[in-house]
Amino acid sequence: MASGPGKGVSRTARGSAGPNPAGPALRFLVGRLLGGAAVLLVVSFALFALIYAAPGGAEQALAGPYASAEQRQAIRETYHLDDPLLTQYGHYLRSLATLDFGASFLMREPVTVSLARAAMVTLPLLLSAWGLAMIGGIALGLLAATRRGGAVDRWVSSTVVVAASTPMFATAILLTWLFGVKLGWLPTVGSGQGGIDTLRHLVLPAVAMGTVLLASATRVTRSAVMDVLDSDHVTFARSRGISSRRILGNDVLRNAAVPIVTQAGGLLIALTGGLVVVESVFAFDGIGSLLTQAIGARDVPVIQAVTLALAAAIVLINLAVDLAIFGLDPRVRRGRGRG
Amino acid sequence: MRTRDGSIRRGRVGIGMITALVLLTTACAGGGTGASSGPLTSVNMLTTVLPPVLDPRQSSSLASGSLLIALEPLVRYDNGGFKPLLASAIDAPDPTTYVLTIRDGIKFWDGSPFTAEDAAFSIGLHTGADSESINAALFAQVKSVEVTGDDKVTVSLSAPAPQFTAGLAQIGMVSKAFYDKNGKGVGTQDVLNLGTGPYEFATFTPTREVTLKANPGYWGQDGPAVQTLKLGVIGDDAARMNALQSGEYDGMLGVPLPQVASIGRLPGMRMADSADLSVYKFNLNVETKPWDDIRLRRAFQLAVNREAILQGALGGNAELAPTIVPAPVMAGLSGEEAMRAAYTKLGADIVFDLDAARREMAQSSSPDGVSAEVLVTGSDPTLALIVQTAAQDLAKIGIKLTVREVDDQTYYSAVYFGHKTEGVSIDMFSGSAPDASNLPLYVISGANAVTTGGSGTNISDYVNPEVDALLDDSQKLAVDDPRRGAKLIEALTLAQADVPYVPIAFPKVFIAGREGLDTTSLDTFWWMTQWPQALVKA
Repeated sequence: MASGPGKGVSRTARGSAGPNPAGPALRFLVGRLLGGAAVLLVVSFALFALIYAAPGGAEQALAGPYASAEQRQAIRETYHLDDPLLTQYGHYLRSLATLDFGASFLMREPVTVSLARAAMVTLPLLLSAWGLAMIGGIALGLLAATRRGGAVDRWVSSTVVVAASTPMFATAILLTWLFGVKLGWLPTVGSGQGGIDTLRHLVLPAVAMGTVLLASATRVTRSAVMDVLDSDHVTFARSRGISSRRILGNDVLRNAAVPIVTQAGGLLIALTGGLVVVESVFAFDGIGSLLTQAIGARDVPVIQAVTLALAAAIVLINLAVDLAIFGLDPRVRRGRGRG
Repeated sequence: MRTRDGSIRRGRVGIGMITALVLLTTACAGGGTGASSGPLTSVNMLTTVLPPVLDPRQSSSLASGSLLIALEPLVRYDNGGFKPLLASAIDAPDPTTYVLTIRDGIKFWDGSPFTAEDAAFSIGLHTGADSESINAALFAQVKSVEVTGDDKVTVSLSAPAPQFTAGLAQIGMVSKAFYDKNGKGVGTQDVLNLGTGPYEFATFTPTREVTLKANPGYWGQDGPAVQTLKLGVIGDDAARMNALQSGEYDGMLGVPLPQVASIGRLPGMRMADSADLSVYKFNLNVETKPWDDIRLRRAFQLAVNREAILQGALGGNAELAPTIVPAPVMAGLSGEEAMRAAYTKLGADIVFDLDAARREMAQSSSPDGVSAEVLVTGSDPTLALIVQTAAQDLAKIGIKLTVREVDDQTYYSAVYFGHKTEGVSIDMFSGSAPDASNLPLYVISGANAVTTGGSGTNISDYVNPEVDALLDDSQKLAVDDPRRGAKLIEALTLAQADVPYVPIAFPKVFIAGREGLDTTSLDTFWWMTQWPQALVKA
């Protein structure tokens, strides 16, 4: 991951970027993709082994508590649940090679269908919460940093501490009670039936998720911007009589971007981790709920698909962050490392 | 259906951006869902469980409340009995043969006729040892299902099964042509299902939400009561409260016991209760040492303070259980007087007496005490409360219980299917049919012990040939013969003397509904009835 802004990057520095960056960029990209694929392989095997070792199987969820031993056994045989671990995993890998992700034991549909449906619910939630946290965080962070020590800075700093210290589920319940129950403005549960209804259902969970992370984004932005404001090149620019607005746009934001972009990736990953809680509190039918249900029913194909999708998303987010930093920081492009 | 507190000053609420966002997206917001005034056109109810697929093979008990109003059964549960629905008559020329006459003129939503072939196909989905149906246990005795006439289906059984009719009331009839056409896709979100009921499936989110709309061409007199109906599941307690409080849902079918008081206090919410066909009980596995010692099991029973559990863990929302079959169900078969006499005696045999418990303990194989870990599942928080309450008194005689919470599948695997506990377990066993033999056949029949290769619902692995003979005899009698009740009572009395279980309490079923909804006539078998009609009749 990226380090802080260091000694700063100015426009003039960008102009002398040096050797063609395409070579290192390609090597970097291929290396990251290969690393990501290895991570996914390890994750999928670890999952398989864990589910294999867990008590109970899909036959219990499918056949129910009154099922006879013969009935349960027949179901285990249908789904090859009694095969050795490596045999089952081999089957799975062969299917994956043909892009066949299998079908849900419980919902009887291809897992890609279940996953796509859940993703259509979760992605807008993630992106809106992330957008709220980032846009709000950058705005508040800038505001606080440019008014260091003043009333606004103190207010922003103390407010974000409160927001960051509040557990996501508590924020969710409080917001729901206020805007859903007391004021009746917004629905408290469910993911909506499309259009404006879906948008209305999105507000409370997105705000609940975004509020907690808004604090982190604010703190990182404030600290990064203040670091740059203290640096020599900003002092020099000021001494040359360059306007504050230009300094902010050309020097401060550009240099503060590296930690902010790194933080943006981290926040998106953190949001992904919080999905299970938020989707439970708001009865949202997204990826988190799908995973919880699949684990409860030992629905192996769904557990595998959801977990791999999440792992892949995390790998891709990290890759995107690295590529963004590659573009933002000429030192990285020149192969001088990022600390 | 919600009221709004006009005294709240909106201007004070929210800060900058959040408020702006909220205002923007609520610009075209309506009020809560459900009906406002006049005749109800839509009802949104919470429930405890919904199926993963809209298919009778993957839905049983409470989950079927969403199916049986759309995929109608051959017979309908009605006030403790069964009345013909899609079958106009059910004849039993002998105890192992049922001849079903299919009602004439019934059509599926798509206009296609419901035929004897459809009925035979629908029953056949649940038969056979390798059936994937969750309802297969109800039809374990079915040998064959054949179409024997234009409107006749003949079902042959391998042994008499008085609960057969009750089983028929729990499975919806489906279209063979629809199943042939859609294959494995039947019941999924995109394909849904096809039935004959007053409500058609409209949308479906597996295990989360089912919406239904009125079927304008319904064949029967008792047509749809509302235009749209939504059933939803919310797992989180706080979210459930919010959804009811905000008016997004109009009530709940099966309020969890720990939430009965708080939901009952919501303004305008009415709560009705009725006896459940379920029993909370401790199971003592007679094949697991040291619980194979009857003295230890007696000591356990004597040291369980059931009254404290009833008032504390169950909050008074239950009745002490003298045995495992709720009194109204047994009275329906044996007669009120016979039931009362037997139950009074059975109840008197379960006393809380720590001195007597210590004496039994001293003479047991574990005079110095014994400890056991008891598994509970978070989906029923009452289980942990019962064990924790009982553990306080049991500790006084040297029986140390510890509680470990696990997920549902781990719990089921250890308690029901594998019997891999340390000899003591707690469960709430729910019957699958409103017949007095239902619970005894699952819980004390040797055929359901794991040690005999059975299903495992006999959690104690209690095998007593005398008890089994009595249960077998009871199955050979006519479904409403009071002598069946006498045989069952005798079997229960014999079993209870060996203490394979300690019955604690029969929980009540609570159904909440807003003003304008009538929940009073819905009992524990609401899911087998035309419940929307009963709900909106007020």
